Amino acid sequence: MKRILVVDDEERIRYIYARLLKDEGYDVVATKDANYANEVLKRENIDLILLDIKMPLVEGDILYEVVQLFHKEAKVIVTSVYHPQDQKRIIPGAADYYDKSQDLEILISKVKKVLGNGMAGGGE
Amino acid sequence: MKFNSIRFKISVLYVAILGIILIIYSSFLYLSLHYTLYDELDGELDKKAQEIARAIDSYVEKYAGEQQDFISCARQVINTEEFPDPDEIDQLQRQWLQKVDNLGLKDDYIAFLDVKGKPLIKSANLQKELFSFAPKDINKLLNGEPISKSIKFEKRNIRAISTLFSYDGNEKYIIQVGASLKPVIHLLQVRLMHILVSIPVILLIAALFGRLFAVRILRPVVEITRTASKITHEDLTARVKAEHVDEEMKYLVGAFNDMISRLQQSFSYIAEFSSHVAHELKTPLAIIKGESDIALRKERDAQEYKRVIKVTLEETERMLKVIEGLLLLTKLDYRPESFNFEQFDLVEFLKEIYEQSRVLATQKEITVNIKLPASGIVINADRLHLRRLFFNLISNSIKFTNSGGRIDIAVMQTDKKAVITVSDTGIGIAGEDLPKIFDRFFHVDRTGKIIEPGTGLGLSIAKSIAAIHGGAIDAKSKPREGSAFTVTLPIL
Repeated sequence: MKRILVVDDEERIRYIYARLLKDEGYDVVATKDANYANEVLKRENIDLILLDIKMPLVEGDILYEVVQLFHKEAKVIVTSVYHPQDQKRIIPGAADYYDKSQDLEILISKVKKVLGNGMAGGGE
Repeated sequence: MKFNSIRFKISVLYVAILGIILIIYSSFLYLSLHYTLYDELDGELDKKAQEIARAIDSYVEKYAGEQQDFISCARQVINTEEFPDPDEIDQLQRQWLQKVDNLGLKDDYIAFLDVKGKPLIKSANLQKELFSFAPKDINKLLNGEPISKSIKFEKRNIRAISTLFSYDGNEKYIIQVGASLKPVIHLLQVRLMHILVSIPVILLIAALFGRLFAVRILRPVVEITRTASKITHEDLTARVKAEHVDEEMKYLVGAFNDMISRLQQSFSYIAEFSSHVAHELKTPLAIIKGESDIALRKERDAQEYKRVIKVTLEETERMLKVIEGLLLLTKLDYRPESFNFEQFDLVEFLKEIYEQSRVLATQKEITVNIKLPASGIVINADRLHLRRLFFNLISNSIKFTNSGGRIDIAVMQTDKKAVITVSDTGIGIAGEDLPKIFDRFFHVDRTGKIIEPGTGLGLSIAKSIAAIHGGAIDAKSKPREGSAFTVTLPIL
């Protein structure tokens, strides 16, 4: 089962993504900031990170650098309320970009694409 | 060149001033020459008259016994050519003839008149006296003052002088001597011609140079105009070059460039601000949309629907708060006329705030203390806005202070100012964040659970409220030890 780490300071966003991705058959871990995320990354094997940009203390682009240095196996989809073009400007080189106000279907298809279609272990 | 252009006006003004100065100066020179020449001529004529009188005196003295009267003496003086044989001329006459040559008397007009102005005798070139006298002229002459006049005689311009003399002790007579004005008039005419020709030439040259200077001086204005027309909200990078520019223009160019820089800052601030607003509003919308989307994916129980509706309500509330905060900030910044200022006692006012804060703080087991001065402090303020200022500070303190902590409110009165400090024993603010806390949409942490998440506008609003009261707000903090906000308000 693929493991997805959701990093977002908005509790309700984390809750929505966690339920959505669990329903799709993924294993989900959610953290509220970069420090907790880093702890999780050290401890567990993460296949994909849904990474918010604007967070207190450490922002998403810094965490992305850390991931690139120490957890290169984890793919990253940037999830923010910014326009995908602006996201790309802040964090270039992520696997994909998702605007949080878009439909959840789009997020699901991006996740599937990045992790490889049909690789999810189960779900509907 | 356009007639209402600065260039034209400067040139015209320049030429007009120069023209007036030149005309006044030339007139002065011309008149001074005129008077000098006439004065000199009068002096010369006066000298001639003196010489003639002296000659007559000599003749009268010499020939006194030889039946020679005044008339014949005078005739000898002015009609020297009546003596054809130079050998017969005695010494006195030889001396006189020499003098006549030296003085150039031969070409002059000479007449003798009695004291009533009647001509007695005149030189051969005269048919009548040079000029006759009015009674007051004769009085003047009798008083010993010579009379000078410019006259037209047989179509010739002549300067004549009349002076009173006496011979033989008391016999009085008048000598009129006239000389041609031709050389004087010629000199003056030449001078006038020079003036009339040179002034327009000088003005023409001045106008040309004036125009060149005006064009050169105004070049930065042209440059500024060109730059200003290039500037749009998309491109604010254009600047006017200030090299080789006069001092005053340098200030203008500097001020203009600074203005563009400020515009650029404003535009980038607005762009950033808009992106912040979008971010603030998009997050609750994403939550509402996400929750609704998931709820609709399959049948849920009533509990779940209730939860989704509650989340929707709360997120809507959050958006409204952001919008209200923004509207309030706009009002504070741009509509000062909407405030309701009144005079009241700050001490009584803060007592009320303190009571209400205690109720809020007890929910999180935080104690609130207040230290007030004995006497009241009267201020002029908008009660509602000031209440909001202090509640924003206190609710921040409650939010960032852990249970068991303390909040202190202290009031001090200094010269003309009331200083109110709200300090807490909370988590504090990191040094690098301290300058940013009054910025709009600055969040330290949104995850506070007991107090709902903030809009990121609270301190910004507090700062604006302090500012409209003519006061200020300042923050000091040590991470993990607490923060202190100091509000300064002017007192009456």
